[in-house]
Amino acid sequence: MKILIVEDDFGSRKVMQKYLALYGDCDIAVDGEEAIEAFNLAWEEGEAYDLIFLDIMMPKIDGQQVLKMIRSKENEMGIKGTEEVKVIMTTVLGDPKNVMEAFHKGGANSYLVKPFSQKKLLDEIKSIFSKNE
Amino acid sequence: MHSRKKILIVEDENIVALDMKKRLDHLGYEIVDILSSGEKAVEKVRENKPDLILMDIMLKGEMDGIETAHEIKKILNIPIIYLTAYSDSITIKRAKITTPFGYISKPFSENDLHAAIELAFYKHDIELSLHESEEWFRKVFNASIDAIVAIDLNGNVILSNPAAEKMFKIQGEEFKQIQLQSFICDESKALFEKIINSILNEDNLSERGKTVELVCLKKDSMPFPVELSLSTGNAGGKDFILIIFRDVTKRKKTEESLQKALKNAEVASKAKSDFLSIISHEIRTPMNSILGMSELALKTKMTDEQEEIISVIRQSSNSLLFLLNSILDFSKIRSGKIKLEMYKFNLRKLLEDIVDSFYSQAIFKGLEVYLKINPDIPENLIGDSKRIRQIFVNIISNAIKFTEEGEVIIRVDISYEKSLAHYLNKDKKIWLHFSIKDTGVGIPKNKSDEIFEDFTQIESSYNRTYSGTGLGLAITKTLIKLMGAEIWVDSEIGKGSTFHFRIPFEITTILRKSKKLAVFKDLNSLVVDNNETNRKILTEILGSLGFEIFKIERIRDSIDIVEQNEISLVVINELDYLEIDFVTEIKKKSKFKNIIILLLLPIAAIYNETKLKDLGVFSIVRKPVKATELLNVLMLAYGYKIDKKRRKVETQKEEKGINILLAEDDAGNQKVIKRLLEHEGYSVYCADNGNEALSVLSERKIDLILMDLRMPVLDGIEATKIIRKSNDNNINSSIPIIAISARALQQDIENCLNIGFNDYIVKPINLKEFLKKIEDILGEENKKRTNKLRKKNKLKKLSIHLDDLKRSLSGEEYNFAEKYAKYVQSIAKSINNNIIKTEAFKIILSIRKGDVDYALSRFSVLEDEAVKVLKEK
Repeated sequence: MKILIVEDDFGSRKVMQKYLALYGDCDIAVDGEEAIEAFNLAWEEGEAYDLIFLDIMMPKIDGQQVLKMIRSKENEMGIKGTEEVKVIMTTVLGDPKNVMEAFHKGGANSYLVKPFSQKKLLDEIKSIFSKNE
Repeated sequence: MHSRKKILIVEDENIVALDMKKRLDHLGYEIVDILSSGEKAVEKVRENKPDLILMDIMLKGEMDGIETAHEIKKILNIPIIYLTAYSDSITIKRAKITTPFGYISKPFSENDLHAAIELAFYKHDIELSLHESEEWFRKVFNASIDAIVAIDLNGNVILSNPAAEKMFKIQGEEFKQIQLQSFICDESKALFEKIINSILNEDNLSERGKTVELVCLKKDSMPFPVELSLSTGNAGGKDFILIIFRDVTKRKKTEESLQKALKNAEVASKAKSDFLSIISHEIRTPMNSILGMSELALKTKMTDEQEEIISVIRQSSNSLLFLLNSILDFSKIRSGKIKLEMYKFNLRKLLEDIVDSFYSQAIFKGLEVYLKINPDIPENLIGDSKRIRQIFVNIISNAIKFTEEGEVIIRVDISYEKSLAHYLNKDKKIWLHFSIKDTGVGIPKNKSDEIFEDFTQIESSYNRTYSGTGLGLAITKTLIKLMGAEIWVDSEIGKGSTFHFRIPFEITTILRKSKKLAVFKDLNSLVVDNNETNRKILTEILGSLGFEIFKIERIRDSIDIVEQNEISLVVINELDYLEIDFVTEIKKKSKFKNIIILLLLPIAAIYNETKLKDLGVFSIVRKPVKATELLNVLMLAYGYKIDKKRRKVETQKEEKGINILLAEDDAGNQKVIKRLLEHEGYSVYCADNGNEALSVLSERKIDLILMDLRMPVLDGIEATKIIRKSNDNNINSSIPIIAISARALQQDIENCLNIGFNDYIVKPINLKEFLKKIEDILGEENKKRTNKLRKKNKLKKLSIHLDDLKRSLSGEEYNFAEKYAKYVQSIAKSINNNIIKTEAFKIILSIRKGDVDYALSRFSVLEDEAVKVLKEK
């Protein structure tokens, strides 16, 4: 599985990388700009991501915007439904406004409130992927 | 013409009535009717309103004259004059009740009648207007919300309005039986007496109309607060005191609740900052062990992975600690718990140090950071360098954070305006003006105050574009305030912001007299003043500003001095109109074309400013002379001159200044244009035809050519074609060329532009337009040049960072390698090289993943491309 972790906090991304190391090939982007770049690069190289963890609060381009850009790019390429990359939003704010926006407008698959345990993370991944089977 | 007054006669004796009618006709009155009985009279009044009634008292029938008058009064308020043969006391007494306007005894003369009637009309008019104005006052009196009470000098109530009755809960008649004192609350009684006494005291007029607050009692002993205003008066020979009471219960309540709210807010605010400071301390305690333990763990033997994990813990703890410290600092500053620690420090060293610490951050974003310190600033200052550092760090880090491209310029200057006392040797304090200018996103005008508030970032939404707590500027502002300094910001959206602040510093040594304000150093001035004290003051001020001073008493002596010395400033204390011509004379004899003449005038003097200015007076300064004002005027005067001077010096000095080649065959035109351009500071070389132009071009470094189209030997069009096609290394084939022609057809202009001219000027030349075109074109060239220079710099940086990247990759310093790859990526972005950009990004991703082999393989691709790019330059 090819995973992209988008996270501006150094510690948080290291933790996630460790958590996920055994389950897939993890790339790291430190801001929204890099996230888009990595997303495009993966497609250019013919190996798109299967799963993206997207921090909401980030400098330059925030997670919500990144999500919108990813979805519109997929739309351009004619990628739909289960073919779309799974996106899990991560946030320290458990506020419903963010979450609602991510789900309804952006098309996120799930969200996690930081900090979270490895078990919680893996459960979430399992549940997303089992939904589509 | 007056309408005739209508009179009704009520008289039962026909002969008397007819006699009266005749007389009244003669006097010019209109007779409404002659009636013989009271009943008829009442009826008549109802239907035809007369202006006056002449009423016989003795009437036949049921009603006599007095009764009739009584009835009529009920219907209409008109003057009634009784006519009677009798005047016994009983009749008069009865008649009085109907308030008659006159009383005529029969028989009467025509004059008696006339006087009685006119007097009655007059009295009636007065009565009416009195009645009217009383009605007005009564309305106001009754409608007033404030209680109005009049008392006599014994304190008895003589008059009260409904509001008073309502306020004191008492009926009108009852009021009059009570002394006003009994409505005043015991503790207010003394005050009440005092104000009553003072208002009665004629000398103490100031008390009149003043308001006093005291507590009153309602009838049921309920106390309530009032505001009183008092005045005195006299009616019918009796003095009275008029008191207006305003019930202020509501206002008092509002005031109280406001006070309470304010106090609560203060308590809450203190609680908040106490809470912040306590909680920060509490969090710091466990942080201490987290940091300490990770520090210790890192010293033990660990696997690489363990070491990495612990490093992350340490790093995250450090950033948390930094955040905590800012919060703690903020709450401390806010609660006024910090004090400035004043020590001697070296400003330049401090600033250089701070700027150095931002170097890598700026480089990372491709920004330039400049530090410019005015050399006149003393090396050592006394101040709280730690806090000054904090201010700078906050503002510079913001400047860098919010700027994506361009530069950050930090300037330090002396604020002359603020430091004047210092230059007058009166103060050891010097004010410095710091400014930090960026080319970032800018701040909207309406937000420029807000940004200094706590926790504010302009885009304070959850999707913060820029990270940070927003505490920095709030801390900065508080520190600035603590230092007695001032801060403000100029900003324009999209163009950048400049933060200014002025801070006073103590300095270690008083300036020696010799060290003067550089601006006016070595300039000669002349003081023309016959008053010794005044002369002294002027000498002191001018001297401290750096001027050399000549002094004379009379203006007639000034001409010689101006003629013999290089006087650039003349200050004249007052000028007789007979002496006015001397001003013109001074101007004429001066070695400086722009000699500055200031005229001191008394504050109230009237003068014709335009005329004085025409004579050559630069400005009028009002006495007494204030140093700041004089300095301002001088700055204005010399600011202009110094600029001009500097520009001239530059053009003379700078060999590399702008060189213009003027190809023009007409000698006259050539001369005019040459002089004109030289006046503007350009260096001009002339050629008489195209051939000469080409040879000048190959010999000299020329920045711009002005080419006449029609010239002998080789015309402008051909010459330009040759230049544009030239392969000669000595000739810059893309040099800007402006065509000069007498023809101005659109087609000609288009032709020229097609041939390769950059622009077109039509003769006769419009000077302003001409210079603007030249400046525009040179500006564009300049831009191109700086762009080239920028690109060159970027490529230089690229090659440096490429080496760094290579070294750190092979040295297995992957943290550094990631950083350098990021530099390379951002430079590639700015020079639009996609291959380098993408490869650099791939390297970044693989380093983060720990895939070193892939990183190395990508690097070789990147390096190949970079070598190509670097060769191209």
